[in-house]
Order: sequence, then structure tokens, then C-alpha cells
Amino acid sequence: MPEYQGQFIEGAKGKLYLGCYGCWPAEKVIVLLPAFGEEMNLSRAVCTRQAYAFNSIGYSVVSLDYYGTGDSEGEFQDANADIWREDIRILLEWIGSQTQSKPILWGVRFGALLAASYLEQQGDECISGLIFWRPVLDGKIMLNQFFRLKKMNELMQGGGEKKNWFKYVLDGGCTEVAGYEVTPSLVNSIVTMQMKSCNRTCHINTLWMEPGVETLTPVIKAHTSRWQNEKLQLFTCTSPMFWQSPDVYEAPELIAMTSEQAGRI
Amino acid sequence: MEFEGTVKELLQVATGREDASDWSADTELLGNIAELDSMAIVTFFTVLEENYGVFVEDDEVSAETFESVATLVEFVATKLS
Repeated sequence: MPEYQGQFIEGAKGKLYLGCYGCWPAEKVIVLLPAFGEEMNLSRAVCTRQAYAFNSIGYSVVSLDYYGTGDSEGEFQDANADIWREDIRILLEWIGSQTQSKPILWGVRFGALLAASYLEQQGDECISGLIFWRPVLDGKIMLNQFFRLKKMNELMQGGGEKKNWFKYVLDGGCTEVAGYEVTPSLVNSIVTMQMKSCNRTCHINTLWMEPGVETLTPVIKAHTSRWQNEKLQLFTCTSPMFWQSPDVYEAPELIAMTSEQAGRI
Repeated sequence: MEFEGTVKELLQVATGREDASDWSADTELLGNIAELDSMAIVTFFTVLEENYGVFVEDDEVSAETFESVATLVEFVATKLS
């Protein structure tokens, strides 16, 4: 049986839950930064499979539950991206105290954007490479999609208020979206995050996976054109959009391809 | 209808209904396809936006948009044309 052990470390605002897959301390480490909101829950099963696949090729994986999410301390309404970035710094420092080698950051959806924004602020000295799974490119678009959950719920219930909830929260209000208490602090910390503003990532060895599309979209081509050729491996792959779809727990092509390419980072 | 294939693909992703490709333009959606709940509608737009690089304002969308495959094709056509 593969090894798994949960563990807590002290984060910026409270204890952080780490899921450690594989032996620990380890020589080769991958840090999983998960997706946001519902996407985090929906992608968990496939991420776990990928973590075990990484174990089988010699990497240990540490997954982080962001402050206010999962099994970490704190409430969602007290969280924001600044705290999460600070927690990443603390986590990388903790890993640095346990092992000599620099880890790879594996960002899934929003986790990739968070990783890029972290590196932009803090520098890339602590890491050896990046794995991105279908990165969120723009925090504003992601939030608009998130608030749409509330809008569509109202629509399904026959109309509802014609309220722009996104703007309402940006302007200082609080509301609940799909069970999450959303605050101006959280929204304002994410709305300005953009992959195209994160220039440091372009100089880091990156494996960028675009599952769920057959060919690269112009948007992805534009974003990835900033990387030096030898630094970027970019692949599409047939895969269900497990981060969007309930009851999808497998993405074998994505996992096989990610595992195969990870060794080249 | 142009974009009918695109709409059915997106509906399949959003609802998980394998038979979405067999639906016709007249197939009624909202109130008729149980899997088409608010989460599925959000998924529909998320994938549309991310795969095709468009941005959908929520006030562009109403319940009528999801009345049938045909009404949805009409909406998607205005975004992608």
C-alpha cells in the first residue's frame, strides 16, 4: 500500500494540514497547490491518483489545504490569497528544513495562478520547477465564474434579484456562494491576479498540461509564448474535465503523461 | 445549425449525459434535463469561456437561453461568431 500521512504545521494564521504521500523526509518532493472552491473538491480524487503515481517514480508529494479550507484551521471568510501565499512560503521553508533538494510546485487550476503570483512576489530560489494543470489565467474571470453559481441558483429558482454579486462584494459587501462565505478581502486579493503579469515563471522549468482540449487555444498560445523554449513543455491531452464534473474520478492519460514528463523538469 | 455540435459537446461535459450528442435542436433543456442544474450551467459557461476565449456577462443570460438546444445554439453563435 502506498504511504499516506497527515500532518500539521504552524501557518501564518493557524495550523495548516499537509497530506504527505510517499516516504518522508524525501529526496524528491512535489508540493500540490490545489484548485479553488468547488473545483478543489471535484479534482481531489484525480490529484490523489497523480500523487500516488508520482510516488511510484520516486517523488514524495505534499498537498496543502489552504488556510480556511479542507482540514486546515480557520474559516473561509477569514482567508485571502495573501495569507495563502504566506503559507506557501512557510511550507517551503518547512520542506527546506527537512530535505536538501528543492521541490517542484504542482499547481492545479487556481493553484497554478497562486504559485505564479507567489513566485512573482517571493522569488524562485526555493523551487526547482513547476507543473501546471489547466491553469486559471485570470483571477477576475475565475471569480466571475464562481459568483455565477449564485446567479444561476437564483435563475433556477425563478428570477431572483438582478444583483451583480461580484460587484457587491468588490464594493465591500459579504455574501454566501455555494456554501462559501465570500468577503471583500478574499475577492480583492484574487481579482487582480493574472498569469500574464507573472514574469518570473517564464524563466522556470515548467510542465504545462492542458487536459480536456484537443488543440491549444489562442489564449494559451499567447500566454506560453513568453517562456523560453527550453524551459517549457506544453501538452494537451484527452481527459475528462474532472475539476468541473462530479463523479469523474479518473484521468489516466493526464496522469500517465504528467508522470512521464515530470522527470524532465 | 452551425455551433450545434459545440453546444452539444459543452452540454455533455456540463451534464455528464452521454446521449447529449443525440439531442436535436428542439430538445427542451431547462426543466426537462434533470442533470442541467445551476452547477451544470456554470460548468457550461466556464468551459465555453476557457476553451473559446470569450467572456460572458451574467446579465446576457436568462432562463430562456437554456430553453432548448436551439436557443442555446443561438446564444453561443452570438458569442463565437
